[in-house]
Amino acid sequence: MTIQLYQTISPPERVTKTLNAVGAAMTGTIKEESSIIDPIIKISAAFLPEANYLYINEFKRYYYINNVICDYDGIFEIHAHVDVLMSNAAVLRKQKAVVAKQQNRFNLYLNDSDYRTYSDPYVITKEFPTGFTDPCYLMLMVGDYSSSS
Amino acid sequence: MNSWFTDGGRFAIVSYPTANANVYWLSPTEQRGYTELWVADMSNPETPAPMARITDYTQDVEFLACVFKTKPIPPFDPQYEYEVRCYVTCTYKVGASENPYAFTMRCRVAVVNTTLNTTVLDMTGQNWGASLNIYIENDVFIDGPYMYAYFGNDDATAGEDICGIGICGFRRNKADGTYFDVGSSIAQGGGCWISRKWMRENLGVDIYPEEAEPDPEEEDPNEDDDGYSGPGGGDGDHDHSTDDIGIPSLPTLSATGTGFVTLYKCNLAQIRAVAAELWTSTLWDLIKNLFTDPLQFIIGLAICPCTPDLLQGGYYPTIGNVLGQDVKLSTPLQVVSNQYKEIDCGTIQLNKYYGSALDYSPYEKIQIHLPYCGSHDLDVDEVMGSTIGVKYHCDVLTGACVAFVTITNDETTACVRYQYTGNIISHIPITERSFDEVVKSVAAMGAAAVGTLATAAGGGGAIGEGISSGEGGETDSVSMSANGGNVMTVKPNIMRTGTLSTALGLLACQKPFITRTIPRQSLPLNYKTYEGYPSNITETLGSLKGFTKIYSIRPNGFTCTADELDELVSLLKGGVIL
Repeated sequence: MTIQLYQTISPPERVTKTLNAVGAAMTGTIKEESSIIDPIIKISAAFLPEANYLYINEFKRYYYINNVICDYDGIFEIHAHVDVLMSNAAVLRKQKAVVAKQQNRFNLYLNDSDYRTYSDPYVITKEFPTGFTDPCYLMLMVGDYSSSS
Repeated sequence: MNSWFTDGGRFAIVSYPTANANVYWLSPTEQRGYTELWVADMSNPETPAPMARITDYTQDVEFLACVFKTKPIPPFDPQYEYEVRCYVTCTYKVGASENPYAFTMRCRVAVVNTTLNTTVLDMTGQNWGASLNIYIENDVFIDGPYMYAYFGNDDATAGEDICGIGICGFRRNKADGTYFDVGSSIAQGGGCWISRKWMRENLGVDIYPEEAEPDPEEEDPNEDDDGYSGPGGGDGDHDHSTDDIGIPSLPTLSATGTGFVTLYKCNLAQIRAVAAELWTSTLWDLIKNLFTDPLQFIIGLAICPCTPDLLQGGYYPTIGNVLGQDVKLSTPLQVVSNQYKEIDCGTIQLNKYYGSALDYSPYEKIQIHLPYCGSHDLDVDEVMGSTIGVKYHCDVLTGACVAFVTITNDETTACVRYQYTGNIISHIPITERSFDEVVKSVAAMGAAAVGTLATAAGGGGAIGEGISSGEGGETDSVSMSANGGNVMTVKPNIMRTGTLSTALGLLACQKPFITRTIPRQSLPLNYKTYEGYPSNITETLGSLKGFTKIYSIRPNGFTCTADELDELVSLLKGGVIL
């Protein structure tokens, strides 16, 4: 089968990774009873390829290289695991989903249990402009009043 | 998937190709071939079950009017641009020939100086060679909390019958091209009878099924039917309009002016003059026929923290008439004209500190301290972003007062939300009996405060009186929060004042104030690139950029294995970078 080795420094969570090809496409043989999700591929190479990623043309999938075992001189056994994000990126982007958190499309008025606060809050006071500012004595008497003495 | 639901949610109006058994959903930008309108049962949204074709055509083709009424919308904010999007599909019939018609219309609604200006942005659709010409007539208009768009068609060829249904979405556009959906509604135009009556008569079903009475003959006495479950819900009216509760007027009935008693405002010199006059033989000779004690005609003396309304000029207290001669005091005093007095303490603006959920409970806490009425918690969710006003209505005769706390915001103007009572009068003892009563009443108030347990937990609720009179204290119990990283939710509410009525109130602050306890957020740098912020939207993943974490997805179109799909969904729920 035809495989292409890559070097990628993109984080695993990134759907579409930036790939730098390592050498040209090469032919490899899949070890018996390997799955397409976790294939084991044997390649022949003069030295250990500096790759951490690969693409298998027949499987139409991208893979992380989990481990490389050197059987004997010139034969390298690559243990890989499928990168489901990169392999299905085109279909994935057409999907609709209910988004829980997002880097750019968000609403800060939605509560989040991950909000963290320090133990010392701000305590501020605001006074109203006026209040009881004009005290007086009041005397209550029986009877009425007169304007003349 | 785009469908038009009735309010109940169970039934939808779908466009349905005449020559194809499959159901096609008509999108706002997608036009199909010949279509009919059908009612479908949406009990299983994945497989809508067409029930019956809508054949109720209007006879009036001279003018087909559709009035789109939205659900209640928030008040227009002039800083935003609003847009009406109307998607209409209809079928018109000439004789036995039926033809589809579908179009999308967008209408921009701008608010300029509180005036609505409507500009039709575009109308995309196809006339199918017929004479239908649907447009927005006049402008979109607002009536209360609803928006109306009036669509008309007056070019229909005579003899055509039209049956149509549409949906009107109302959006508030944002600068980055995205938008908020602020209201939408099923439109029921003149040509479409998607009504409960039609459903009942033609399909034998009800959009809002009433709860059926159980048939006693069919009941199994051994069966527990408490767990009966059926379709329902979603039938709220979404009406969040509010009545403004205004501060009432001062009472008109007053003890002043009755002639039985008179209330005087005095200064210290006047009080001393009255006191001196009481014990003169001149006065005593006059009043000894009326009273056995000169102090009997002085009912009370008090300190009031506010000056009530007064009559102009000075007046002489007349305490009786002896042998045709009025008995008056020689010291002129000012007469209180109204025993009720309103004190306006003004307003303060409560601005959000963060502009996020941290401005609300359980994070921020707000207390208001009211002279003579004590300290009270305010519901921060209710008052945040509002203008808070405080007004007192005081009865200077009894000392009773009511403090009104009002809220002014986008939805309400000076609406009373809280009322607290107290007493503003500080009595001055003028006899040994009245002094004893004053001391007793103050002591009783302190004892009542000590005996009152502090209740409630951190974050809200009426805490009641303070632990001790005039001193603050900590509440007894604290509620633990599920938000482990957020200390604000487990902090107790501190009672900052105790009982502050009467004489105690005179010693305390005389202006209201509020105390805000604002959390200090701990936010790592570039947090949103690692964790994102809460979103809670339904969106196509291809339209998003950056870190994204989902709640749920219905994977469709993947050709990978089930294990790969499971891993994919798991990664999406854990967060990926698009």
